[in-house]
Amino acid sequence: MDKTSIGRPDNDFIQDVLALGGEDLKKCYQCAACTSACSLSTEQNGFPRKQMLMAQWGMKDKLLEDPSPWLCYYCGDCSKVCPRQAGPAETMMALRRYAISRYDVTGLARLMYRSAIGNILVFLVFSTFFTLLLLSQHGGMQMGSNGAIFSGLGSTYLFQYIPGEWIHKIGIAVFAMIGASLAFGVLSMVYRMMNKKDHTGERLAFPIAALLPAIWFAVMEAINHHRFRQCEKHEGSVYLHPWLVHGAIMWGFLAMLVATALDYLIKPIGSSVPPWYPMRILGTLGGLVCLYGLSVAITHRISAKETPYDKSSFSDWFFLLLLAATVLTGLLTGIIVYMPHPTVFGYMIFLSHIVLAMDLLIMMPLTKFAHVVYRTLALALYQWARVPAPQTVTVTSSDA
Amino acid sequence: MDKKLGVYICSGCEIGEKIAMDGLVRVAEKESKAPVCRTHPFLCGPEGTALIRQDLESGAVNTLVIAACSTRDKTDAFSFDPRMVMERVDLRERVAWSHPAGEEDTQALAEDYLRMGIAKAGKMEPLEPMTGEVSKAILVVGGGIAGLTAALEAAKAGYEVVLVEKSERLGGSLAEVKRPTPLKAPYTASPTNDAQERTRLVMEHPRIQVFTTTTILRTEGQPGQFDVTLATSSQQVTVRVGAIVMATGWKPYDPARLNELGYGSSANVVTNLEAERMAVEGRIRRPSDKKPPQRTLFIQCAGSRRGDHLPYCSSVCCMATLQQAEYLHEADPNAEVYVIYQDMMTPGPYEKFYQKVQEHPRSFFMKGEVTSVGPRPDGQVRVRVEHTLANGPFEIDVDLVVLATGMVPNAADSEAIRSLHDAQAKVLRNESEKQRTEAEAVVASLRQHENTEILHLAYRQGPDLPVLRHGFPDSNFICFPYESQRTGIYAAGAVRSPMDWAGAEEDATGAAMKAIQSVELASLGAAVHPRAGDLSFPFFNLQRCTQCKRCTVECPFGAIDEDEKGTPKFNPYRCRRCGVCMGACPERIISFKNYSVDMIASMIKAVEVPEEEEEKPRILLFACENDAVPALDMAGMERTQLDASVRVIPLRCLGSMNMVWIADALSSGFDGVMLAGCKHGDDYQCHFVRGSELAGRRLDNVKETLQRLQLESERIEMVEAAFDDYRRLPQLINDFAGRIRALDPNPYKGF
Repeated sequence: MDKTSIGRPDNDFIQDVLALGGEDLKKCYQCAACTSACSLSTEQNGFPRKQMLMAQWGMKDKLLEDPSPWLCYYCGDCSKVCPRQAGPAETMMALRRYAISRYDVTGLARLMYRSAIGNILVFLVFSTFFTLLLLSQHGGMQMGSNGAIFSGLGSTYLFQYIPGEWIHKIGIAVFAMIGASLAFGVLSMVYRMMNKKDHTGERLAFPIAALLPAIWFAVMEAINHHRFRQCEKHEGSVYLHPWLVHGAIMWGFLAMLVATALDYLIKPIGSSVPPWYPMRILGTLGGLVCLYGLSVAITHRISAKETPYDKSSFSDWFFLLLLAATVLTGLLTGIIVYMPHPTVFGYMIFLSHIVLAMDLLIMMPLTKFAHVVYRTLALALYQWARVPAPQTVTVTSSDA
Repeated sequence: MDKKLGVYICSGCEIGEKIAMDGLVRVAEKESKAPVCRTHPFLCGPEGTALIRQDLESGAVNTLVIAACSTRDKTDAFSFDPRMVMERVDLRERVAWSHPAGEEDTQALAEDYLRMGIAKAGKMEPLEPMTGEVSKAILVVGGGIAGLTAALEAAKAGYEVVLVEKSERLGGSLAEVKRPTPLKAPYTASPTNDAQERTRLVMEHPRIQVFTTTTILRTEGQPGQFDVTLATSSQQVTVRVGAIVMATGWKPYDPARLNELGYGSSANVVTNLEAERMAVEGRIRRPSDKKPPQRTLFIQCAGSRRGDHLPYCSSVCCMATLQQAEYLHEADPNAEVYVIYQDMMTPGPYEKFYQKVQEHPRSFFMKGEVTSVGPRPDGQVRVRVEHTLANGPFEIDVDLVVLATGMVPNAADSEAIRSLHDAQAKVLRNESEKQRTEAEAVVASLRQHENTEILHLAYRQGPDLPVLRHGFPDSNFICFPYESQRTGIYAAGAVRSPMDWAGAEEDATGAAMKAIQSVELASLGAAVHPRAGDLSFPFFNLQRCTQCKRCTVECPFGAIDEDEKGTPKFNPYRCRRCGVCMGACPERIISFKNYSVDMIASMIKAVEVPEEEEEKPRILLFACENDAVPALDMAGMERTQLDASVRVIPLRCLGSMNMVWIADALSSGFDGVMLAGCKHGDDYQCHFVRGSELAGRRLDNVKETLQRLQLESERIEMVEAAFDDYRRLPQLINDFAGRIRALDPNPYKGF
């Protein structure tokens, strides 16, 4: 079989990459300053120089089977050194967006990435849908003075307004839909990446023995983001290090997720608990940590001084703001349950929080959020097929 | 004329602190019986030079020895009548700045240098410049952009110009392209093609005479007196000119040799020149069916930068490709253009144009190597690209392939033609069977040079400019652009080096200036670059000539022709005064009035060589005036210490070294002789092209001399030193001196 491709640029693909954030892609002249600046690029697997060229030539299939775009954490080191301002970091981001939109069967992701209006529309449709769905079973707002401050009786009223069981049912349905949606993307990615050929035209080997270590590698990486930490030559305060900021958002979010899940599992829905109840403390702390990360990310994007914060797309903003709104309304709800008087404002915040949380989840496979799954998967596949680097005696070798 | 010697010794710049002045005065007054000897603490100052002028004006002296700083310094202060005998002795860089004060050896060194200078001045004679009728007209060969510019620039400067063009129209390759390359910021838009306007300016200029459809039949004579016979379509005309600018341009690399890139295998594989022609005629089309191509692939460096083809980069093909890509995009914005390159060469601001074309949505650039180009049944061409920067090789089907071919100079290889002519003459003479078959083999190997003459020079060394590497008739492009190895003939434009129109324009202006300098200096009887203004020239004492032809063969500038018997016929205006002929002559019959075998021999003999028992060796260093001497001067400025046994004699060129000097030095008791010349070989740095190479070859023969004298061969050494070797050269000299000190003294001391 002929091992070479009959190349012909896929102009539609190029247009997509340009539109998804890689607008300076054509400027690249292959000097490889980016690859030498990248602390994650290795001799065996160099990027993003090669991905720039493949994107310029519209080599869609080769890029979709390549895990490299997912190995990039968008620290922006490459774009900083690019002599032609070709934005390799932005192209890598665009390639990830392309992959997410490609793996989304509904086509909504593509619409959201390519158009701000489309993004808002999708959001509004989902929000309206969830609002109507939730309100369809509402139990009415109970007003008046009914308890002392910190009694926690507020949650009883809130869950009378929107029944907890109903929220739970909707949640299950949403998770099922996410699962189905992601399953398609995951299978596509696995199929493509496992059919990847190396430069000699041979298919990569995926030895069974290497599977478990690869999964371990990917999970550990997802937990500590060790590679992200290698990324940037960060010069500012340690509290502003992108790795830490990302970690705050991720761990804060996870803490809230766990608190919510445990809350549901170990106590009756809507039952009152005092503020020092462990799940409550975990959720509040997680919310505050997450809010810290989000506020740094947002202020950096507002000042937009340097990569990776200077070229935020609408979809980036959307995801950040959606997450921030979900966390904020969640924290506010946490305060409202301890207020002495239920108010219309309190009920509205509670409703918004549930709608936003549902939005966040249902749109997970369509937004930046999807990287949680795809990056981890790509890392595992990359590690699985990775040929062990020859042992060198160089003391300075950092690529362990 | 009786010589009245005046010796002027400067004691400034540390000279007085390091050297006892009375010792020097004793050498001048007592030993050399100089009627006038003066010392001054600031000889180059107004008071010091006034001292000299007074003595000259009063008639007390007519021959000067100035013992002060390097001959390269204070030339304006010590500038008197250039014809007068004047010798400068370097006591500053060579002694005071490179040796310790108050030492016996330092004093002996200074006194030796003064003796040497006085000895040379004693042999020198006043110069008598050449006088002759000199034409200041300039012949420009070639009517392309370089030729048009050279003609116009020379005419604007007031010189008569004769412009000769082989074809029927002027404008050269510029007239054959759709658009020139962008020349102004922001370098993204091409100017209009002004070839017609340039042609009109030249045609209408009152001082420019234009001959089209004309070739050169013969060029006789020398700078200032070239008689050039032109063959027009109807008649023969002879014009007299003073200098020649050769701007014969370039031709494309023969695409027939590019079968490996599909040329000839498919009609849809064309060269960049063919594509340009289509663009000029309308738009670039696929030759097979005249349809505009949807997909065009350019192969850069087609037949360039490879050992089996042109080994060099022509520097213009990348821009040509970018422009043609733009033509294609203008004609059809959706037409795809692929460029497969080794390196995109878009020098200087042309990078901006590259960026512009690259950002077009239908431009695709890839570094890689095209390994096969083959026709497809549907008229398409399949191109395979390997060693790409993407993932592995790929193949692509395109409508049209354009080969970006490089430039070949329109020059003739003078030396090859000369060898061919000699061999052909031998075949005709048919003196012996063996000789004839040998000559026939030479003729066969050089057949491609037959009838390639351009200038048809009536020179002993061949009918055209000698070529350097890759067939370009350049003398040395680092130091002296436009200079060729034929005095008064300057190469400009793409014949000199691959270049575009902007480069050719600049080049032609420079070459016109060199041509003007040449005729102006010829009218003064003076040498051109690099010894610009030198009034001396060699005399040939032909009674003693043995017709060995060494001078006619070795002259780097073809200045010496020969008659039927082989007697040299010297053309003084072609001469650059390097003295290579003087060094070559075994009979020592060639000398300048201020530079001769005898003068240098007297300098050698003027050195006081200590007795053997004193254990003070003496080493002679012949140093090239153009590189080794300035390097030593700079070493002096850095106060680098030199071995006190070394006596330096500057030579015009190491090629002017006559082997008899080495014998003289050894028989005078010198313990070692060192030669410091320029780098030779392909990347030579010699001002006179072959000086150090010739000296090296002659030195091989010295081994016999040493054997005859029963001396060690280590006593003689030759080194290559460049202008900037001011740290390395003193080290080499001191190391050599150390090795000589380790040897027994020269047994000929005291004979």
